[in-house]
Amino acid sequence: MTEPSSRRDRLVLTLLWREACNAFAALGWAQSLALLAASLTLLADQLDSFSHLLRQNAVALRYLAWPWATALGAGLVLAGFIAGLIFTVLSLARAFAPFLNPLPLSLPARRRMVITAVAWLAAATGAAVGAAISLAAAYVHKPFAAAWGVAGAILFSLGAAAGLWLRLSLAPVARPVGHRDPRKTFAVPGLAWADGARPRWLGSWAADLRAGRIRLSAGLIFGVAALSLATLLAGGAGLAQHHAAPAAIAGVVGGLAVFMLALRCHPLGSPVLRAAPISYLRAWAGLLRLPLIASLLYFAMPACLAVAASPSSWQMPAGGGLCLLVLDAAYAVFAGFFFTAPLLAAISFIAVLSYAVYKWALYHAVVYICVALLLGWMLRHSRKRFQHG
Amino acid sequence: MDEPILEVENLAAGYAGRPVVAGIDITLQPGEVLGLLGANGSGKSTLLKTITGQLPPLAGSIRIAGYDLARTRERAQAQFGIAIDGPDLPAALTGRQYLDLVASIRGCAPKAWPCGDVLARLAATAWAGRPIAEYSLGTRAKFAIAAALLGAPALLIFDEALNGLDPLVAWEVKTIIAELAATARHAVIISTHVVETIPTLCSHAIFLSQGRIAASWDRPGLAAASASPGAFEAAVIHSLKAAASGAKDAATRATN
Repeated sequence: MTEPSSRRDRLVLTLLWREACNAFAALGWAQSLALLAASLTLLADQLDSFSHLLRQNAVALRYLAWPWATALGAGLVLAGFIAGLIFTVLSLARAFAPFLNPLPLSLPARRRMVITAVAWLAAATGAAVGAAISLAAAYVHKPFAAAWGVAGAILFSLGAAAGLWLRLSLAPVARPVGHRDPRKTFAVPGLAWADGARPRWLGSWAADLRAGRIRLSAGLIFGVAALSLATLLAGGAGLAQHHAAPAAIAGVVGGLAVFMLALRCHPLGSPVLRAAPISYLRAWAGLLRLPLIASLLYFAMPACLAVAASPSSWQMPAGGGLCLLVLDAAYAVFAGFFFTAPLLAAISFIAVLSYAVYKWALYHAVVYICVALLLGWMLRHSRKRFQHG
Repeated sequence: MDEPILEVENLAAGYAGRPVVAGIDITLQPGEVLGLLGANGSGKSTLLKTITGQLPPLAGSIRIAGYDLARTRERAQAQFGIAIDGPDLPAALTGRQYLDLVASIRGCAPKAWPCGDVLARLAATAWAGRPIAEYSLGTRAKFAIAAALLGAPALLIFDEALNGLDPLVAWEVKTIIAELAATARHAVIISTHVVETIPTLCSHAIFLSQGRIAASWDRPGLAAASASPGAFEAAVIHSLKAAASGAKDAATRATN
């Protein structure tokens, strides 16, 4: 009896593994090699930068305990927490996939499947993180290098466990088939105007606005509250110091967050668009309309506060608006490329953006050219996939 | 003679470079209705996906109303309407919004049907304001058919679109297809497992087996094959059994 139960508990993990294998198999040889070469180049570059950093600070890192115990410890718990959240979201989607709905799997059984998958994924990632810390500690000749690695892996795993616990506590994780969604809905004002240009209703389809109505959820309330608070704090600080920068920065960051949270590109994979007389660029641009309006509407409020705080510095919010448009456009390329996986699109975009900012100090214009080339390649590949499956 | 609405020449198509269908030649003139028959996995859906531009051909060419699908993709795609599978319809939209979306892409009015008010004819008007997520399989099929007819495209493609329809609506859909074919402005492809539909509705039929055209019937052939009640169905079942036996032999040879 034990064996079937444990096999069932590994079902989500097996599904994730099979999906990953299929995704790589679908890439083909040329793309797999290109991806491998690019990953190895980036990894080598990162290792070079990191080892340089370690060499520079070797003495301090060897004898001081606080950088390891506090900064690294807190960073690992946070990274583990984020990883745990991501693993749980991915696992929940598989545990409650439509094809599993008719099977006799109880809610506790599905939760066990999720917990098993997250535990394995977190353990594997934690082990890799621990090994990297041990190697770094050994590189600077820090005593008990292996112990630091084990401690790092444990902290990462604790963070992941916290992420898992938080997501599982945020019910509902599932509803029975045919069960009416109890969440309140309200009509989105001006939707017919905002989503009325050709192709019509594409934004409503992508954002799952059932018959033009949005569902009130804990995530939505939290997101709106967090962004409003950030705007008020940044605007208040700017007004108090007569400085435009805080509100302008809040506008760009918040506007980008709104765009990233709102943009969904899954219709690009639907035969409704792929068998229709519409080009990839037109379909893709149609999907950007609603999120772009939301992003710019959000940006307008802190931008006004920035101008009010320092009218002579109007160039700052104006430049911020242009910067926001560029960042939105860059993210849109990622969202179109990973059209079925918005989370992967967001993680990849943030990783590329962080890497570009980090390398900008060294290479300046070359970074812009590389990012532009990457975006061009992604756009071309997305278009090709839209046309040919 | 009019220009053919569909010309498929020596077509091969499949997935990851492996052909599922090969050596397909089809020519459809205005007013013709082609029935597409075959066992599950014989390549019917792969063929229709390739004709509609959702899969790239591995070889051969496809011309729709004179437009080459490879060279002038959007123009070629504007010449056909396909009834999308029910589960692929946008669940968040209402039926009316879905028709609006398709009409806006095709550049026509949301009620630009070639045969009257299709929603009324298919008894679907009452559902138009509800989200598609709440529809049954049959109601989804009605809206998929209504969307395929928007803008009166020259080629109409129904991939098992009659599944789930009640007899009355299925009859109405067949009536619409016959009316459109009679205008000699449209050609129709119907892929179906309902074999008895073929002789009454289609002017031609092809039978796919292991990705190739194993049998075909023209108008006189169909008339002859269905001369006695159930004769055409018996002929197709015979072909299906022969195809299944051939597939089994091929699998055995591959194993050995």
